[in-house]
Amino acid sequence: MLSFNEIKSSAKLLTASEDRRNYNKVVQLVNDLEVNDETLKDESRLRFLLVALLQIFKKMFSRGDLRSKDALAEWCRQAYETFKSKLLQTISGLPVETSLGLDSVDIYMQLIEQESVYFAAREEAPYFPNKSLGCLIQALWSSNIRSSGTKEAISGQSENPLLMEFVEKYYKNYGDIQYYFQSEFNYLLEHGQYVTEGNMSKWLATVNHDSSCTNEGVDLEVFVPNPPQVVENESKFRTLLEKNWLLMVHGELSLAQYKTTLLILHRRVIPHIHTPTKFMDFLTDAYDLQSRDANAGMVPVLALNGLFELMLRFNLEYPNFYQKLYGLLTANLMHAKYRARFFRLMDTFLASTHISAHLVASFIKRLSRLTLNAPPGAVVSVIPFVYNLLKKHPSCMVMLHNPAYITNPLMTAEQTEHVKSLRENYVDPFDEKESNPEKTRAMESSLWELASLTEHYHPNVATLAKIFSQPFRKVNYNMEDFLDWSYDSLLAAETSRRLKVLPTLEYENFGKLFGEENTEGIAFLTGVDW
Amino acid sequence: MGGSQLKNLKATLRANDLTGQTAPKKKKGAKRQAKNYDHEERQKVIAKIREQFSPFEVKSAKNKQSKEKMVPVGKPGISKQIGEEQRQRVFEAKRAQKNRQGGIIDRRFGERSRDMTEEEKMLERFTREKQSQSRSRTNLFDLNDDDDNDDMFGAKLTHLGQNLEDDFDAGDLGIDEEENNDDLRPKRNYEDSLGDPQPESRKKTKAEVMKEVIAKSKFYKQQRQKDQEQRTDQIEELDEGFDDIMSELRGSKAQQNSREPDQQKKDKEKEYDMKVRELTMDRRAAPADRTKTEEELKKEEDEKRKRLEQQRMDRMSGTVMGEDGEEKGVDDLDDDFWGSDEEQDASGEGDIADSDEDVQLSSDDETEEHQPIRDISCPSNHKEFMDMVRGPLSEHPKIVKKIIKAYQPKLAEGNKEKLGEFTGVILRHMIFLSEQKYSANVPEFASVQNSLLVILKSMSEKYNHPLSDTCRDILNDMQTRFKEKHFSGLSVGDLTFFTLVGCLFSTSDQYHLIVTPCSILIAEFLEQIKFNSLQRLGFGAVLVRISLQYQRLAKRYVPEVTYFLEKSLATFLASDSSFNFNVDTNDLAIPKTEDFSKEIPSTLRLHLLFENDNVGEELKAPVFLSILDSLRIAVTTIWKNLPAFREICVNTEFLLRETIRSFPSLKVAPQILDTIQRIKKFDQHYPLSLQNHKPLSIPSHIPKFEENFNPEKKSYDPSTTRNEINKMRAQLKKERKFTMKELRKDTKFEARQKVEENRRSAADYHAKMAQIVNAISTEEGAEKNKYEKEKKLRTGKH
Repeated sequence: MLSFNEIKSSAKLLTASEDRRNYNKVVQLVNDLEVNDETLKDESRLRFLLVALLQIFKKMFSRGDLRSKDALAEWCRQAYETFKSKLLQTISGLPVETSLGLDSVDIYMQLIEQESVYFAAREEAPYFPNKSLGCLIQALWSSNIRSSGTKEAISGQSENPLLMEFVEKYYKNYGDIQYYFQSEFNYLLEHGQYVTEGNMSKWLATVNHDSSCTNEGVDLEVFVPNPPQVVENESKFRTLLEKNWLLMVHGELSLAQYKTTLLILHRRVIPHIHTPTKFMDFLTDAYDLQSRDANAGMVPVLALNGLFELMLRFNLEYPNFYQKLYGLLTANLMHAKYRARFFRLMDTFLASTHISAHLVASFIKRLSRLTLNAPPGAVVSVIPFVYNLLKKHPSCMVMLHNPAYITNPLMTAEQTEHVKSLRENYVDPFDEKESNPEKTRAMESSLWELASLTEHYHPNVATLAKIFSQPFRKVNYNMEDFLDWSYDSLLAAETSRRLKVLPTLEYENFGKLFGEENTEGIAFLTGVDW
Repeated sequence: MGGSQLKNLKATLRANDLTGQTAPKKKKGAKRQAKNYDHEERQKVIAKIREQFSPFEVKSAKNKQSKEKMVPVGKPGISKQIGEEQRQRVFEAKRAQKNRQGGIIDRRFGERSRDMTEEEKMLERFTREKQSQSRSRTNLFDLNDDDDNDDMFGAKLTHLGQNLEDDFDAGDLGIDEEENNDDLRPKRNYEDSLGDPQPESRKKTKAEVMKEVIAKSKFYKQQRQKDQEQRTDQIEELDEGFDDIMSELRGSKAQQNSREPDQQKKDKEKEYDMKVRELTMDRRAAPADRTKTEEELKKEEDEKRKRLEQQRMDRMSGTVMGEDGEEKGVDDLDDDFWGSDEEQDASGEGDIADSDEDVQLSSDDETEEHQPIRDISCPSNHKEFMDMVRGPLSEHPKIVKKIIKAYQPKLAEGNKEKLGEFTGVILRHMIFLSEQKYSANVPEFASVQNSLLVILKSMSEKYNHPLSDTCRDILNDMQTRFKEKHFSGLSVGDLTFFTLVGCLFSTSDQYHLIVTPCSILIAEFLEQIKFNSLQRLGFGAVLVRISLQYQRLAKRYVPEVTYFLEKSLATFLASDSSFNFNVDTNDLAIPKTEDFSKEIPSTLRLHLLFENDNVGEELKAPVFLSILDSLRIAVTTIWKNLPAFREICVNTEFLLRETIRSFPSLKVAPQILDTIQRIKKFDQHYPLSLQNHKPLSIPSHIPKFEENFNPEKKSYDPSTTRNEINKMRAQLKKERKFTMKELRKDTKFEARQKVEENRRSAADYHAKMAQIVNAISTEEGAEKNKYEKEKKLRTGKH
């Protein structure tokens, strides 16, 4: 182990003079670069060593020591390669987050820059050291630093600090790096077992941003002074990116990764690839998650959204879309957090006036059935939603108002008798187990569920439910006003109310809080006791 | 007519013989006509000419029937003049009255009272007059009366229109007067009767009148002489007896003795005065409230309940919301239901007066009355209270009662606020107690809680406001606790709080400031808690109970209760994957071997459920039974009234069938299922017709054509009442306009008058000043002249 001063003196010797006798010291220094738990204790020494070596090799590059074909150069190159592999080891092997790792990435990238200049076939020739980059990717991908953040679990996206450094500092900013990254990564994917959950998280971390070189309005610089022409080829980049995406997406994904992928699909993926319809398999896969995993939650909904986008924009043929959507309306939906999002999407899916009335009726009936044990937030979004649907499809109004069952005093006895018998013989034909929304016979049913909601315990909900018994004069309701209600917002509305009129008191006297009724007085709550 | 105005005027005057030689053709012999008549005629003619020549004097309207004729409709100048004069008069009167007090007060009976009709007034006046007359007449016939100048006779005895008694009484009069000369009335009467001439049969001649006057003056003269003589006699008499009187006065010792009784008398008088004053100060005795019989009390109670129930129903249906409620309750302001509001409003101004409104506690603690209660302080938060109640649990209600007694609002200012805070403290204390471990002595604990409840209930009527504030604080606190720590943030105290709210406040209101947030919170708990342990299920079971109890009257539907009931039943049933219920755990299923045929109490005992975190397996059955019981209540009281009864019961029925299949020994489940079937049978289930509105007419835009149009007719409205109203409205508008105009004119006039007055006074002032200056300058001038003359003279001398 060299001490601080020794490193300093050797580095000075090597950089100051061209005296080749000192070159042995390089090997000594490189060998000294040993990163393990013990050496990590003196991190500043290691860092100093790294920086010193970088300076030495830069000097050697500029002297042309690494380029010529003589034995010394060979020897120097060997030392250089050792240094590089040591750096990669540091990157991949660091168990905890330290600034040393970040420095290693920076130094390695600087070396790549040097290489592109001095390793080119001849001077000024375009060259990019893609193999070195490939090695770095491998090293980064095998880095296994556990981050403490919880964000990773939610988004399924890696928060490896080394990777973040690489992405933030280099990948996002330089077009040539993006290109060679994709090509090298593609090479790696095709030749190795890289499609695992952990790798997917790193992949997502790399590409989940808006500064891809194919983005409009993004003008990226090049990292190396003189990159090859191919870097400019956008089409090739797209092909590579598409390949990578499809390879990654068909591997193993966690739920969070499914969700993240689906969320970024139409903004950050589809614009950058050639044939978005190739994602159909992935989307179908994601949709089918609900049958495999009870906690799938939002994923099928998002998948449907993606499919819908593809259908709209790329003329994708997708059978039974609405049947699948109908299948998503379950009791759990009303209690889930992504409810508002789902309603927004459903609003767009059902916006067409060309869908059949039977289908709309099934949706209305299913939704209103679900309100019977839904929280007020969900009820509040269902009511205006159904109102808007009814407004758009007036043939469904028969579910609210069936004139065949009205009696009036002007009717003849015969007619009255007829209505009476109609009423008595009526059986609700709605089949809630039917999965095809065209065949549920919801149209022949009626919305008793919504009529019952006028008796809801929350006064505002009850009032809102009364719109179905009032004339349909409003054109439609703006759904946004109704989607984001929760218990918290309802309670906040209550607590912000000022105490203007005193709350009325119970006039009945209860002698006891709990217990059965007996001589001591009436208990408020029977069936419970202290 | 052509020519200038002047020429025309001259011509007209001449044509009417008003200028030039008057009556030139008058013959000498012709008789002179009445001058007066002539004059009037002349005036008329002149007025006519004047009218003719000043076209703006007369306002005229075109006569449409006969052409070119104008019909005069008014004389604006004249009417203006009249108005001006009137105003002037009023103004003068007002000014004369300005800065002056007094005037005539009409004291006629009933002149001012409005609630007497004219007839009543007259009748009353008549009876009064009669009474006063009869009073004087009793005097007349009273034999005891000393007054014996008998007017009766004087009024009657006449001869030839002359009073006979003049001479007759003359002799006695002097003596009579001597005896009661302080009584002025009879004398006046006498004089009146003298002066009052008898009903005139004929008019007296001048000579007769003169004679009468002479006689009278003679009579008076004689009388005066007599008086004089008498007076001198008396004076002489007195003079003679003067010495005797003086000697008597000096000799008497009465002076010394008189002081003692005088003093005594004074004291007595003082005492008497005091008594009188006291008596006047004393409040007049008023009849005490009659002690009511038992039936009456009962009836009153019933009526009160009925009224309160009606108000409750109104609130439930939402017809009376918020502030409107007070309007409705105006006529019951005196009863304490709404009265409590009023008190709160007035709480700022010293409340010592309404001390009889103190909380009346059922005081069975007379024994400790004699204990000094001064040294108790009123705790303003729960911590302070905890420092005070270190003793055994059973003492707590006593201490609370003592504090309330010591801080009755009548005793000191500020007590009301203190007790208000203390009400919140009691509430917190009850919650606090329920969170303690009390399993050692449950009955005692229950009785303490119940007596605290009774106290809190009676306090809540007076201290509604602070209590409500505390409740809101607790609610906020509970919400944040749940948000941060979910179920572990909740405790049995929260259940106690919800129950207390149900006891204290009216839970059936459509909107209630405390109960509505409570309902929301309960629903939130039922929906969001992960029911994965028996304790949590027990918590939910109690919450469902409370929620159902809240809705016992209003019968509103709580979807979360349905959600919880289904979820919890599914949890307890075997974890068959066949049902699609999203249960939070599969570990809580009741084994199929469980025997429900034996008696298992369905009562949930809070201390067993919540005292330890680990709840024994043996409680599964009670919780399960309790949930089933809640389901029964929900079905029979709330769900059965809803149009969607069948839809709500779909899942429940399925679960009940499962239950029956799993536990054949359970009797409750088939009963509930049976109830559901029976309700279904009687429930008519047919499609809705919610939009059965009255058909609206389509608005037509064809112009309305009126047959038999009449320009005179103002309105074609067939409704007579509306017509009347419109007419009245128009009239009112007109009147209003007129009055406004008049008022404006009045003010203008007054302003003009004021300006005039100012100008006049200014002119007066200037004139005065000018006069003074003149006087001074003339004086000065004279003096100067004098001086000059003098000077000249003197210089001339030299």
